[in-house]
Amino acid sequence: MKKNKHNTEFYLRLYKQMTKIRVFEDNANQLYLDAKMPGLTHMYSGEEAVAVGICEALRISDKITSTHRGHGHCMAKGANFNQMFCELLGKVEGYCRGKGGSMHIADQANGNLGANAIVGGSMGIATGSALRAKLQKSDDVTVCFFGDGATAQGLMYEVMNMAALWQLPIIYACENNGYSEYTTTEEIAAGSILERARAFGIEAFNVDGQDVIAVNKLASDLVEKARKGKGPFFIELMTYRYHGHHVGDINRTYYRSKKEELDWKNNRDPIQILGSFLESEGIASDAELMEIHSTISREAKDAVDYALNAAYPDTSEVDLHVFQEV
Amino acid sequence: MPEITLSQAVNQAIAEEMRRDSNVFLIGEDVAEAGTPFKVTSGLVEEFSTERVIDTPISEPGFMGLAVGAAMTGSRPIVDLMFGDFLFLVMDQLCNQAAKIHYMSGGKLNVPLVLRTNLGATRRSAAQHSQSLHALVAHVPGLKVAMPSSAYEAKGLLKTAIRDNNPVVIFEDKLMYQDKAFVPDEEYLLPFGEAAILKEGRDVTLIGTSSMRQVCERAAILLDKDGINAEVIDPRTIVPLDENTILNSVKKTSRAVVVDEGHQNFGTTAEIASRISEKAFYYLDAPVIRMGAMDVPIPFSPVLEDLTVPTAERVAENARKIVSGELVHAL
Amino acid sequence: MPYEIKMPQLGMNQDSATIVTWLKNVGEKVNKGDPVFEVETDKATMEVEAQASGYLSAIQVELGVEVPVGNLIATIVENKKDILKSIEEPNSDNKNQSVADEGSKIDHETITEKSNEVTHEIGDRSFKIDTISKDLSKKTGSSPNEKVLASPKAKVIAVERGLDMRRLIARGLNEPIHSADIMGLQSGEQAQLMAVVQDRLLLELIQTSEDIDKGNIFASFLLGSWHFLFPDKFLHVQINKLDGSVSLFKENILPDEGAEEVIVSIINLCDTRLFSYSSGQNGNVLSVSHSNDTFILNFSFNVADIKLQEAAFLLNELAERVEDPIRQLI
Repeated sequence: MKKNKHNTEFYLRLYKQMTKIRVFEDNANQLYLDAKMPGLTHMYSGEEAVAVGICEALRISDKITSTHRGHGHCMAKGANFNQMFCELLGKVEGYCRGKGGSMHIADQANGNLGANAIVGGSMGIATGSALRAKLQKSDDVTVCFFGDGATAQGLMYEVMNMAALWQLPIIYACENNGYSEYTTTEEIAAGSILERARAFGIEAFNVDGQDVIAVNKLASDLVEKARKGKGPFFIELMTYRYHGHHVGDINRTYYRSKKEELDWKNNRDPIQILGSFLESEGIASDAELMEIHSTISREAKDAVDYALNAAYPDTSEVDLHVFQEV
Repeated sequence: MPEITLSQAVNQAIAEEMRRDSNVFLIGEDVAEAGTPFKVTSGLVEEFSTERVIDTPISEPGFMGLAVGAAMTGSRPIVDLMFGDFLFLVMDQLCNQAAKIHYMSGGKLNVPLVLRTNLGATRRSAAQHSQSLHALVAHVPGLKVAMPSSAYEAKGLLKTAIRDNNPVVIFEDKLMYQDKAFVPDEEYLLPFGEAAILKEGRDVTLIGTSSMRQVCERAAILLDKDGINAEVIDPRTIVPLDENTILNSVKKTSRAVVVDEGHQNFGTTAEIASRISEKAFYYLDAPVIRMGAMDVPIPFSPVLEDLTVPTAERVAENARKIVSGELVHAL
Repeated sequence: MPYEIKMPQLGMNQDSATIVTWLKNVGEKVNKGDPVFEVETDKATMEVEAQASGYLSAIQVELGVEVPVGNLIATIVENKKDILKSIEEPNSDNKNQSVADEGSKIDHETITEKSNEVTHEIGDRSFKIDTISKDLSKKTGSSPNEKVLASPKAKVIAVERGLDMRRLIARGLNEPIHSADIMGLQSGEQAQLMAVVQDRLLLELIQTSEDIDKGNIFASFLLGSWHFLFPDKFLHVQINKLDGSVSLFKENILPDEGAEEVIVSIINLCDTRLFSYSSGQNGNVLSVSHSNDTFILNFSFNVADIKLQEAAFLLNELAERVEDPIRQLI
């Protein structure tokens, strides 16, 4: 691979973005274990290359919809630590003024139409966003993130049908992490996931979701085509979640082995894979990568402290925003 | 002032708003050339083309979801749901998504969409094409619910709904599509949360929504013959509900019969009756009477179906009883 | 800094868990990811992994004791020399838990008390529900369990007019009572009595002192008559004047809680040309006028308050006292 300055900076950015997500999740997990975080949360750790590889192919005005496992998508689309942690802790400075929490973070300014706590629930929203772009004759693209579990939802087939009929600028990004909650994908999905999309005449691709450069290359290619009205597209990204379905899903040997988890963590970690590449190409040394990690960790710690000390919403806000007052 | 049908009123409201705002579009099954089974949207596609009058596959959750996403990103879609009964198909997109997005996002996102659908039995359409399900959506915070009771209301309320920045579900009575009413030549909007007092009276308040407005008006005429002077109120929207107009009327008459075509159990009548009991209790001189559709799936056979919906005669009978102090329900 | 192992949140609705087994001993080497202990929640038993590497130290909780989520369980120290022995005492944080419970109980009581004070508005007046129910039971003289079946509006009118619903029912009114039942009843049950009395002795008595107000004299004569005839009932006498002012006669005796009471208004017409003063509506009004060496006593009253026979005795007694004021002194 050619080592020009642009690529160097871009690869380092990919590395930093993925590290940011990992560090965010480690802190979120700790907040949960320390019982400082209300409710529960679903960790994105292990899947960083998917969100970063795709979102780095998008502009700010492009839209994404996210899932219950959504922190990674938010960070990759430009969210900042402070507002993220504040939202996780139900603080008024959070992205949703503490009203959404982990599963509903929306960041409209960065084109994030929001996470969704209904599996497959955002497929209509994403497709509608693409319809809007087409009606406006804008070349914005929408990416709909969802998991393998959501391929079991009927809504997906309804909206893919319409997206294909009307050639909407949308990319359906299926993060196949092998498990639909506490059940393996083979147990819930008959046939091939890609063929589902192909049945509607949608071009569908499979990519290694742990290889951020490969993900980004494919995504960039499809986003450009979609901008020119050649959408929709479908990508299945093979990936893995390190944690359970949610924090607190720690007793999970009944559905997957520790050996399998260790294999992914040790041999297929997206951050390690890119790190090794950067080192072998002479783009960054081990020490420089360590420095990136510790800088981001410090930023995250500051943000956690900030969020822990931040104010809760005033109780008068409880019935604010039920309706938008015109 | 021209006299037009409810169907024409809806058509005019959509056309006027689409001319006014290029963000407005119409989406649903057979809304373009077919103009829907009730021919409500006929002719719109000629003026606005298939780009803004969009025929969809028979995928209610799918096009409902599309409308939510388009609304979140700047459009103002009008969704045509062919029968109110199909609300059950779109519940997740409407109630889990559209209704909650503004709140869940701390006020950042909004969903300015209108879901047009219908209600009403006695078309001999049986259990899956005859329901009046407005209470179902009125129960969910974040949705506004409008219930026009004539062509005049249908046009004014729909135009207001299209301009509202929140999701609005508007129910048209499918038996009323050909009913005519006078509608002003000039443009007008009807505000949400303002009930109409259709007839003033002193002895009993009859509150009737949508299809039941006419039933209440006919009941008032019957009561007049017995010397009972009934006040008739049409709430027009049930979310928001104009509580003051209803309470002030009941404080005056001390008696109320609430009539609505939704099922009586846990329904719109129950909500309005309980607000009266709660907030005008010491003015009441009789129990507040609820009259909804019978709590059975709507049957097909005409002799059975007609039993399920409140009639003017039965409304008048109950009103007569509470005015004379006779018991409607045993002590 | 040692890493603090806290009781983790393990499920959606779980506030606490119990440690059933330690899988590592104090002082033992622990690697991040190693199972350290096994906990039991109401749903399941599961292993909890270490989130840091080091040596297990300072176990804070006993096996089998329920520990709230977030409470310190043990620590993991980096160096062997920092290992601390376990503390085998019950976790002091558990006490905080019960204090918090106490607090919420108090809050609950406060709320309950407040909810008794719901006020309702009728027109421009407002009153408390409690007040109304007390008034009702006071007027009816019955226990709160004896329900009168009446519409809310009828009950409000009854309270406003001091009507006894139980007596109305005893006199043949059917339950449930509606407002029309009461309104109609009242206008038909107003009765009137008149008495004419020689003025000589009383006028003499009055002339001995110029300060005496005739209204007050008649009020005290009326009270005297009442207590003489009906020692168990309480009478409130009001002095009404033509200018509309109303004052309570100062010699009234306060009734016992729950005792039956009647209000009578007295209006003195002696210095006018009027002979009677009654609206023909509800209420008990005694007007006193003077003409041709006689006092004329005009008593308009509601039979729900004073029965005709009782009123006849009362007015006759009063007339005798006016004719012979000595009776009042005995």
